[in-house]
Amino acid sequence: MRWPCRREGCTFGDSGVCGRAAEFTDPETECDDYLASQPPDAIAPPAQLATFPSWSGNALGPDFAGRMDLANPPLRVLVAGQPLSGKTSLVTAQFLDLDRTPSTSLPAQFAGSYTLYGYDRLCDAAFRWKEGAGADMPHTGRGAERDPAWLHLAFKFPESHKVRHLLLSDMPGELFNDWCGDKDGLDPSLIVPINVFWVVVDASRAKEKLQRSAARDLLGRVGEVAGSRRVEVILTKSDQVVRMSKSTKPESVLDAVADLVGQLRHAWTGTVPLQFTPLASYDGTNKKAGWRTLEPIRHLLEPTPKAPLHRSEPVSDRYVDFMGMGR
Amino acid sequence: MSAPAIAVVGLSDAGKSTWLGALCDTMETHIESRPVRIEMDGVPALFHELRGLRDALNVGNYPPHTAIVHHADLQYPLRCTNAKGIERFVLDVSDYSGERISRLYRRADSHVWDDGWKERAGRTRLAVLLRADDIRRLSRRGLEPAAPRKGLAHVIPTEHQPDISEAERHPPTALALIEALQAMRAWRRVGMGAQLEVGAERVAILLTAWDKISVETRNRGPSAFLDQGAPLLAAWLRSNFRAKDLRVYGLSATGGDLSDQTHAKRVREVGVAAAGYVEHGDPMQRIHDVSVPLEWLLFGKHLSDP
Repeated sequence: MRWPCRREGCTFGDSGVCGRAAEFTDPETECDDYLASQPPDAIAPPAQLATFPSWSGNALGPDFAGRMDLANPPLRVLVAGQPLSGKTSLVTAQFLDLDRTPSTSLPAQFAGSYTLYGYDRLCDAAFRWKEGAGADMPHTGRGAERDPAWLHLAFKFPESHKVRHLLLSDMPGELFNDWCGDKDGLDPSLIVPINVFWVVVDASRAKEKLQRSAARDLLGRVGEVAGSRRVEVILTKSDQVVRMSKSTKPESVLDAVADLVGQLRHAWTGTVPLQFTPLASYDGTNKKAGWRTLEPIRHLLEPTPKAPLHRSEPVSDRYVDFMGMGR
Repeated sequence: MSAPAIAVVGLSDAGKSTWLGALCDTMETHIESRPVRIEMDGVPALFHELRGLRDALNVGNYPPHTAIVHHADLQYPLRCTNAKGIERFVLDVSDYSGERISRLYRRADSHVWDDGWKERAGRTRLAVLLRADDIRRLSRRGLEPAAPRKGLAHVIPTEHQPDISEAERHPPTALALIEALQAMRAWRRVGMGAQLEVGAERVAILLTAWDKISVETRNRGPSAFLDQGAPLLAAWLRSNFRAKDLRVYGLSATGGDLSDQTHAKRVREVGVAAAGYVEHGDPMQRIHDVSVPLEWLLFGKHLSDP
């Protein structure tokens, strides 16, 4: 039994067989569970809000994130990954890139954020970080006030004038460790409204058996719950892969990454094609901004393929293509 | 019907006092050939602070920063006289002081959506000032030493003074301004990203200290400069305001650097009104009248344009 439908016998996500076929002539338009799993459409922003959306500027708690639904449903992204896999660095680098370069590289333009101060604090910490100093970015630790927390971005499409709100989770990696060990380790109410899963994997540690195992476990959990929702595997710290590949035994480093990608694809039990996106939140080799950090956001802003997604599609190995390694 | 109001918004050291002083001199310098005039519309005592700023400039000095924007409730009745008649309006420079914007941005507990913000959020004509040569980016946070207190700090109400503990942490320019502007729109219940009908709100971006920018960069125009210097702010403005309701000006209120003794001497001789200028448009034109942005905010066009 797969999410979104909770009924026995429903394999709509896999094979298109609806467990409530007797009730629905068209599950895609009639099944509430299925519809809830689909990303909300961007809509024209209201010229007049019903209420004043008082916000603090810091990362949003679940209450505010819930209230946003009333005006314009946000697209919620669960940024999942093991501790120190680069989740916080990723969302920080994305905002730094938005602030650094004209947003012409995206199909929609920045239109606002309820969490500017939260982003600022993350960026401030990132700027103080020195490569090689250990601990990477300040770790998003457990704590009642951060658990879960959401970062908000709004983008406006120039042609349609519609606005898409994004909520990106900022949660401690230990929670995902718990989830791997216990399927109830994450509150199901957190998972239900998620529209997109970003599974963050540290590519620079692809050779480590434990790392590969942890990535497979996490992806397995995501596969159990994702249903027809989009899943993107983000291979972080790829600048280090590039650097290592230029120093010693390049083939072994690149083979390790390719092997990791292959293992993840092989272990994937979900119903949607996996998308792999290599990027670097910070380019340590060249001591400058990272690369491709906005690619996952671009994917969120591009038109979303509608289900049924049970058809088999070849998965392009974007990491391998990008790195010029060939297949 | 009450007179329309134009609010002046800018962080600390954005150049508000310098612009207001030059504006005062412009209003009091009678040039018969000017078809449109922004003038004071009240007894001289109402404009005491503005004249103080003007006097400082006309002897070749910058006004002490914080000299004006921290006083409570400074609203100046002005009028625009042109061939079609007189348009009265209010210039509101009180409730948007740099420190208040910083506080709003940081959300110090005692300053969350205070009454001033709620009341003034109704302003739909905004002059937003930011220093072209000092746009603080995210990566510059925490590196700047605390600015020494100067000017009339001793008479500034406590609520307007910077937090000592946070003094070295100037907020990034774009983020703080976006937060202030989107807060004001939210209080008017305008949805994020919504564009109201043409003329319902107007924003003039004034890039101050424009003369400090290289000629090559200036020649690309103020809008292009904003795109490069504050991309996030530029994107936010374009997402939330119609193109007809958004104008970017390069503003040199003093026409040069007053710390340059040669230029200071010239200002002493000709007056700051004659030295200051704005640049705008494509092709870019320079106008020796720093009140031009107010004219555009009122009417959505420059009445003196052909």
